[in-house]
Amino acid sequence: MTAEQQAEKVSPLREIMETREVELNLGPQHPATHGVYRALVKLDGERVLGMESIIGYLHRGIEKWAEYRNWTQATPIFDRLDYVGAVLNCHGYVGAVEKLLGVEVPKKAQYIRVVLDELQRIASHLVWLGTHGLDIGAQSVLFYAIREREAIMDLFEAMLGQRLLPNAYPIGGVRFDFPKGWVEVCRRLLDVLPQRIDEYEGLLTGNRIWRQRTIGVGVISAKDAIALSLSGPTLRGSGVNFDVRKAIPYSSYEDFDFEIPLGQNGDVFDRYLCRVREMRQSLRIIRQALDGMPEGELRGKVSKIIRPPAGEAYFTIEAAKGQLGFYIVSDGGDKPYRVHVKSPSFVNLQGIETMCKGNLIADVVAVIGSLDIVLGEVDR
Amino acid sequence: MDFATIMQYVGWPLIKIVILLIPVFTVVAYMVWFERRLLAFFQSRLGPNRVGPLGLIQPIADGLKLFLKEDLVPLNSRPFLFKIAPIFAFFPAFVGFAIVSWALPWVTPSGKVHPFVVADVDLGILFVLAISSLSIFGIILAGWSSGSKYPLFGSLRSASQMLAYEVPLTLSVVAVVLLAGSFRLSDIVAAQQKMGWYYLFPGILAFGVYLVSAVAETNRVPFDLPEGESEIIGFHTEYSGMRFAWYFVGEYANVTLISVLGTTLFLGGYDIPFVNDATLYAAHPWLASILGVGVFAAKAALFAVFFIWIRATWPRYRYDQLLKIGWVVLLPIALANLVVVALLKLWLLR
Amino acid sequence: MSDEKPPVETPAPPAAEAAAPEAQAKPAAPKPPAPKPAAPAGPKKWEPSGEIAENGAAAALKAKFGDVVTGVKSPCKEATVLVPKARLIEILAFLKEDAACAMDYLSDLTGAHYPNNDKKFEVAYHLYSLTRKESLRVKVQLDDGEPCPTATGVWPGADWMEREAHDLLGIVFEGHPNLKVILLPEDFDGHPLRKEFPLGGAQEEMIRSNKYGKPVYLPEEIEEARKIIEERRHDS
Repeated sequence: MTAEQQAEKVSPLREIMETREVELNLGPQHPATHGVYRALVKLDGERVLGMESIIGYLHRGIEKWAEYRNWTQATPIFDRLDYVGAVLNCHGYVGAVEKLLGVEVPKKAQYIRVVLDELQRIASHLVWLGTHGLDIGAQSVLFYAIREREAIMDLFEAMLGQRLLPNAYPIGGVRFDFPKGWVEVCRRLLDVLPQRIDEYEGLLTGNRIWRQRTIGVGVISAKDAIALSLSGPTLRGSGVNFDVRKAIPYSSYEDFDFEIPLGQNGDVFDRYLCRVREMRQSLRIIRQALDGMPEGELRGKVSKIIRPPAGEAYFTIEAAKGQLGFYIVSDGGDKPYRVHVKSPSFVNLQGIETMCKGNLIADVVAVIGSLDIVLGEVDR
Repeated sequence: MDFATIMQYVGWPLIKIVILLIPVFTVVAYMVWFERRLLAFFQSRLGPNRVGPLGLIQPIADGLKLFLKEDLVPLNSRPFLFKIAPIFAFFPAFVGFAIVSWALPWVTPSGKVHPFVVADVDLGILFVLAISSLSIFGIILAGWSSGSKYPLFGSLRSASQMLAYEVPLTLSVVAVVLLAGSFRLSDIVAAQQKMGWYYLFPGILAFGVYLVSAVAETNRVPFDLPEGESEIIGFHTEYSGMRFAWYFVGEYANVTLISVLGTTLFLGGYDIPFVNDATLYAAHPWLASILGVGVFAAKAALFAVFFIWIRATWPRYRYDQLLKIGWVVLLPIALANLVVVALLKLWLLR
Repeated sequence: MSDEKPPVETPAPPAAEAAAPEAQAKPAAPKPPAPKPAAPAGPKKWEPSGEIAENGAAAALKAKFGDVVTGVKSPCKEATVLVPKARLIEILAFLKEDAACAMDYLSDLTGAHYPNNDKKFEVAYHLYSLTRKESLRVKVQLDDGEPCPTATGVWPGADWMEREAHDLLGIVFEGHPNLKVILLPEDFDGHPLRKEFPLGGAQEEMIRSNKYGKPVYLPEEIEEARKIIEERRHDS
């Protein structure tokens, strides 16, 4: 048999045995994408060679819509951005308008906002914790987390009349003081929650499988994280100390004593730890705010028809997902001329390609969970 | 051929099969209910409690619903393979029950012995291992014939996982076989009764390896990668209706079989602890057998609870970690254990 | 709402209307949109009120690029500078690298459409210094269709933000590695955040103007669709 013949004999086999990349559509309908997010993943076996995010399935044109409502009417629209952290979104928008108007929010209203914001942050983190756990296969955490979130939702219902999208704050302050007995219920929850968080940590933090699945997975360095404009726990997991509540204090956050949990390695586990510790810090803040609740007005001086001066303002808050910014432009009219939302989920999602490259497909799921995206906010 | 011969080789086995399959199907169906209820209690909720008292009719309702669902066959699948694949998944699990010895044989007053087993095969345990390995074909065929990437990933994972855990599982069983000196399940139980304690203790390492491999073989948390709902949805992504359900029937049948086998191999099977069988025989000819089945079921239920407990507690391993545990951790342990057990047998338990 | 008026021949009526608060002295009485009040004499330019705010970074920038950088008025005392397009990237890189500015964090990047201004588009970069804890807004003005140099070379995080601005406003970022649609469907026609774009798109305009409330399927071409809408309006 000549060499040529041999080569001929081998070549069809080679064609059969040839390996090639597989393109896998992760989403838009996929249980681990937390909504309609689609990732086009290039795979070699199960290893991720590259990935492309395809978003926009939930784009509702919120920014455009807001231009057709007057300043007050636009408020509830923004609850629909991050629908598991609606109070924080509302705070972001209302704060931006107040900044442009130059209204001073009374101290009491600021404290009430802090209490509700932090409750919402805990609720949002609980949803994240449950779904993140579920993504990695720990089912029970979801149910425990939802149980506690339910208590927070009940508090919102008692205070604001709505659970999920409460349209919490009017421009200039808050609508109501705490209803009778609310503070006691809230304090009882504050006493229970630390034990419950211990419970979650008992299930996950020390769990060998959890650690094996998360430590060293989806790493992003501090430098990359800053360059990619990540924010919130996703950024702090890499060890960058940037929390809007401390860096650019708003709503009297400078009055409270709390720490910013930081990670070291920027992996999924550090981001997880940051968020879990953040819940404990939030509890601290709420307790301080309830203890130091000042007396006074609930709303600053705001005219019925709001016409901010022509100009622009950029107001950022620390939402549950990261730095939530509102860039609003007024032309002096009674409607927003332009509202742009810097949504933390949208920007954080940029980091996913860096984090996932070279990891396995199961890690992609872990990374998506650790980014804590809400597609309503990504797509707006 | 006379009637007696036909009855001996065809009639009685068929009757036995029917008598066995009805409770096995019921147990498998109620495993689902049991798992859902127990899981719910672990997770501070109630689980299915609407259909019938305590939700006991839920499995029937689920089965009816699945029967009535549309049977979808994807366009770019290979229809024939796609349709027959589920059979491979659930059929071997049920065949395995044939060799399980359920209770002490019933000795009639005339001295005739009726063993509580469909087929008391000499190489019983080997037969189960061989047959249960076939179920992998159901998964691979499903993945291949679906014409979709997710099932393909699931089936590839499944193939390597089965390979990785089949070996330690078999080795752990071999340790027991070494101790008992027989492949026949009734002999293994008898040997445990004779020795006075169960193989759980001399074969503790083997038991550990068996447990871990059993979880992996049945594709359950934390080794549920072939399904891996939140990652690759699973090898049954494209299935619907009853064909989808067959996979779950197969899985729960597998869980039941593995529990039953584990009970026989390590927990003394139908042996009633702290009770001498002779006294039971003396009390009533059936008593030992009937109590034996009950004890057997109770012991097997322990396994099931263990599986569900794990599912409620642990996250899922990653693919590479899973294979690593199989090849790098379990296999050496199983091999070392085999040596230890052999020496033990040679010097101590002669 | 009264301002969901159909776009007639003159483009950008919502903008003109929104830009002229005095024409709207009575706030938004819901009336049928047909007879429109006389438009104010000449469209009003958008111009910020307030005064120019200063901070360390803005001062350092002005010291270095004094001749081209101008301050922008801000009603809420936010340091804002307007820079020329030609030197944008140079200035952004300076802001990032220079120790006196150290604007290492791109908080936000977006644009806005001002159809009545001379330069129709503005791109705003919201910068923040993690070390110096200071913010700065850098703005650049563009004409319609005029490309803006990309900031992805300075902050890789500008990638998606620029894609978004491109998608929604139609600003072209020159040199962007992957400038394609991000939020809108791939076959979407138009840029929704431009002022002349109707709120509900062409289809909604059609449905609203149809007095029988029946759906009418419009041709794909937006101009033809508008024609049909106009005809129907005259019929009714």
